[in-house]
Amino acid sequence: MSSSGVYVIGVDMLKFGRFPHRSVPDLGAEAALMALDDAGLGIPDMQALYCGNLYQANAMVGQRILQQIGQTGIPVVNCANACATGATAFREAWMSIKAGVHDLVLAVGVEQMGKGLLGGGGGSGGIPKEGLLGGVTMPTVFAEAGMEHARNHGTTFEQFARVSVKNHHHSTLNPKAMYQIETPLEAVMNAEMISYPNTKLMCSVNVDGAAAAVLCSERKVKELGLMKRAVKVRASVLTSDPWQERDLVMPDVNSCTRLAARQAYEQAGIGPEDLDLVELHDCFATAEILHYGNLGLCPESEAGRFIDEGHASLGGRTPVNVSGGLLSKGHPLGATGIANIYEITTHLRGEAGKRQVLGARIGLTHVIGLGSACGIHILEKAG
Amino acid sequence: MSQAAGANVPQKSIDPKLFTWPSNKPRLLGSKCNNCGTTSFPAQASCPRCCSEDVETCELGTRGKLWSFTIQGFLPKSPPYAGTETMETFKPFGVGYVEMPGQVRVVGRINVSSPEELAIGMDMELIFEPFRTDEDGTEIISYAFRPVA
Repeated sequence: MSSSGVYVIGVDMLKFGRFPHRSVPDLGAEAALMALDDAGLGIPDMQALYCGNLYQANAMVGQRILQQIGQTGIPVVNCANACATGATAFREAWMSIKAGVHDLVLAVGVEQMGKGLLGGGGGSGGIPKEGLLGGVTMPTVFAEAGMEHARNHGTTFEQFARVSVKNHHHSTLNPKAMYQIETPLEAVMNAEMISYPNTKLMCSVNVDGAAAAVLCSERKVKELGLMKRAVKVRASVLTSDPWQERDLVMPDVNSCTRLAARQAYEQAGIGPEDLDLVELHDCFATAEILHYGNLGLCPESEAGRFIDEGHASLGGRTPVNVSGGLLSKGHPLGATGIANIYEITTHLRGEAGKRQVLGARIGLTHVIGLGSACGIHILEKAG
Repeated sequence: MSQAAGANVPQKSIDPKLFTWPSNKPRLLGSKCNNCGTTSFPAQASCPRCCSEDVETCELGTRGKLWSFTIQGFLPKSPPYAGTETMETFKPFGVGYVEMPGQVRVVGRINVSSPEELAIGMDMELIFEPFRTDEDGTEIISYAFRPVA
């Protein structure tokens, strides 16, 4: 691997929300321009575009973004990788610089979701029986994974619910989150039961959104004099499911994360204890508890205590999902992986306002797309 | 063995590749790798563990232990969901994974719908029951699990 670094020099996201009257390329174009502005550059400076979008994966979204902001003739690659779509686009951009092909690359993640529950885990293509029988929906998969944790480690319904209370609280400090509403434990636990033990307030919020990042080679960052606000990509990892003893349609929400975490820490030459903050994939409250252990933030068996004792809260040992997470900031699938790059970068720059993690130098982003794909990035303050 | 009831009603398997049907002793159909011994379900043409293509179809056992479960509390999206309930008629149902000893974990419905009646690790047995009834009266049969009494 090339020894020279890759940096984020511009990044931004739309405030997540519902924009039924705007198009996907329109949302992506706005985020792209915001990220370019953040870098002080323009689309003519970009040498390639990697665009992440899931629900319109066959619609050339990246090219349609350029039709709005400038058709410079650069290569465009459209990526779809379930909930890891945005992280995959970012990683493809990173690889093109790492390979020495480009110096300045734009990565965009964008999605329009509509209301309702996240649909169809394993239902699209491949083995048919799952969706047919109504057994493997996203909420059931993560509920069952949570139940296994409860059985093995005594994790309680209340502990799972506290994740949602925490993330909703964090989002009150994030003006770009979909919701800024305090959501007490009682409200979370008494909400409609979607898939035991996850109630409606323990499921991620379906929203529309877009986020974008400008990535740059080390040589070019220095040439442009942009090192002061730059953030170095210390690790970029993407994994799929390693073999496990299970049937072929039974999603495994843990193994690909554990594998990716191990590779990411090795690549960055750090351990979980070095992280100042984490944005992880809290698609359901149960998932966040599982990922504390999967990412090594605490022993797997102590994940319930980790939330109870406030270690994952702003001001705690390793603040998790200070943005409000997917549970309250929202989860526009293709945008999520770049929106969490935005969140970490903003903290490392010391620009996160009321929710700033003080003195943050290193942060980790994590997404998992069922099927499965896990993307992890470790970012470090450069300037 | 709980054979689907109603001998006079026409019955059809939801997917002939999933289990032997019609049969007095229906069994789930998996595949076994002749190279490393790994069992897969549903059956497939090569091995996900060792990549061997030397695999053959095999019948799975009828008993196992509950590995995890939940209660599906909302009407799944259709398609792909093949059930015919509406928002008004939908009732929550159990779903979970059953670990078949020495074989594989199988995901399926459970014929119990309250979390209090289920516990991870409990013994489960395979059953076959109507999943839905088509307009012409044909019962569409699928497999499920129930706690061993």
